[in-house]
Amino acid sequence: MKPFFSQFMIDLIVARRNMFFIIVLSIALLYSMIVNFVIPSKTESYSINFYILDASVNAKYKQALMSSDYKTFTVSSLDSIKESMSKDKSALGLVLKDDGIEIVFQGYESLQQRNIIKSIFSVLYDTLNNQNSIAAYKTTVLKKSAKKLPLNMKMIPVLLATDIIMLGFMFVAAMIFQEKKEGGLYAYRVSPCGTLNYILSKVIVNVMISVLFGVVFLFFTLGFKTNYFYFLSMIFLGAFLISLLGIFLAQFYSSLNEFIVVALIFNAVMALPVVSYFNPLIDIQIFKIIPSYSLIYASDEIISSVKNSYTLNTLLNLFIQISIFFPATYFSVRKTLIKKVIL
Amino acid sequence: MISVQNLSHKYPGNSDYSVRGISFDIGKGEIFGFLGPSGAGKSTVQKILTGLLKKQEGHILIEGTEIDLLNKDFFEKIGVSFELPNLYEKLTGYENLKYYAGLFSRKTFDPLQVLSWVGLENDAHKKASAYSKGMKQRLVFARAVINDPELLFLDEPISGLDPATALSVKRVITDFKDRGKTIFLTTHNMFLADEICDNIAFLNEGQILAMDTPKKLKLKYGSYSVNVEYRKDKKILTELFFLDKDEEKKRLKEVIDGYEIITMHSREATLEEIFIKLAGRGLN
Repeated sequence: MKPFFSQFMIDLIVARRNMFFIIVLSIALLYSMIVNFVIPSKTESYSINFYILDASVNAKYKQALMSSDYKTFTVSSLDSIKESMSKDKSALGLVLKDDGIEIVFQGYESLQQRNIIKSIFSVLYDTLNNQNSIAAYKTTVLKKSAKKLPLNMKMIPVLLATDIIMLGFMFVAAMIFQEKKEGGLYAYRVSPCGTLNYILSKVIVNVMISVLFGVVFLFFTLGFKTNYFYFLSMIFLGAFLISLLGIFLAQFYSSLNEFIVVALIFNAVMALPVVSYFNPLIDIQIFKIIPSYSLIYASDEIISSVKNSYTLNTLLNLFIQISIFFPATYFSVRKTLIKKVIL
Repeated sequence: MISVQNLSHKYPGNSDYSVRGISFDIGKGEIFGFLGPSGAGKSTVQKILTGLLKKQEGHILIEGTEIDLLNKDFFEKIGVSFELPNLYEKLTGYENLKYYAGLFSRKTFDPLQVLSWVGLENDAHKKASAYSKGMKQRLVFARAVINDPELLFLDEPISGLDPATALSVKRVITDFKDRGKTIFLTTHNMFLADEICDNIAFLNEGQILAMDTPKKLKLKYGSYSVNVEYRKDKKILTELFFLDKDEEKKRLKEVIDGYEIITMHSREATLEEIFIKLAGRGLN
């Protein structure tokens, strides 16, 4: 235990004097402020404006539309619709007639999106004409207990996961490159401390940095209204896995300059699940094996749901991935860093 | 303590061997000097002996155990001082020693005590990055002895140090020898080797040219020489004459007969002169 503690103290002091703790604390506070004060809880980008011309006899649809959930603006002519839509690129136009409905698209909508919109307005049209087609539909809600997250709260999983992954990955790699540059690794290699302590001390320091970030960020955004046990378990395991990945990849490069391309690719890949998170239509299967995917969705579930089945599954998966990846990192580090001299 | 037989090593990508079939033995409590110019293969041998490089050809026994079979108990008992400073620059001198000492299970020295041995006690709490090159070199030396090793590997331990500090380091080395520790010293400093080594080996281009005690090497390969200071055309010149060479004897006679002699001293050949004689090149 003494050799591990000594190497851990070396890594901890190096991390502290490299300002890693100050950096994550600053980022946690900055993110908290962004979530609390900058990102709105609702965003206009989630709703579409409709410019509507009621061309029916006696303008019979006008009143019904004004009281609907849709954000509508009534206009007096088709030209007005076109003019309004040219200024508001997310808007759609509707011309409601006695014998049907005319939808005016911007032009960038896909065929799939157009069909969905057509279906929605066909139902709306039937409803407005008292044909009550809604009754023909049966609805099922998958997560009855889930609450819909406001946009700023929806950002928390993304900011949490990207910090743990991107900063954690870079910090652990920076520690290794600093050791290589200064030559401390040579001195370590002629000590009896061994590979296991070398890996574990760096991983634990990195996990501590991530946990610190997580606690500060979650406290200032969610307060006491969340399950810290699940969150901290996920951060611990997620940071552990990412640290192993960072060590595994960094060992093959001699400097941060050489490594930067790998880091950029790694971070770009890790950012892909964010696309799925904000646009569920782009839920590509392969994204699900990227560690950030499960971290983001599990965080979302912890915040929004009383059930935590996905979170528990994520924790188990992270544990399994660490169990597989730890021996791989151990043997490769032993061979590449601890036993081989880089001349 | 250490027995090396037919050790050879070739770096990947090099066509020539860096070390070629060398053999030597080091007894317990002995200071063994490995002498040679830069690129002779000294550091390569030290890296192999400390496990930093994998042995390719030959046999190395340390306390009767083949080096490939040595485990972490071996690293508990060794101390290694590197030629180039390799420290945790963000840590203070004290922290570098304290936490390095913590990597060992055996009893270690107090870091402040070791820092005082090398004259760094007043800079103990400065970051290593603020140290001069000489201070870093001393700290690396201090780190090598912090675990009170049974076997100490020193690579150019007084290189770049001022005479007073070099003397302190030499005292620590001889104290360790007096306490029965074995020391493997690689250097191109012949004065240091002559002063503190029990046995030395001359290494050149990966091969051992000669190996014995400094005294025996001088008796075997050295010859008495005469250092003459004389006046020629109003200038004072100094010349060294080896008396075992007829050519130089003749030249000495010419100087004595032809010029005003100011001083003339006979002296023993130095290890450096013997090395030049054997290798045909100097040490620097």
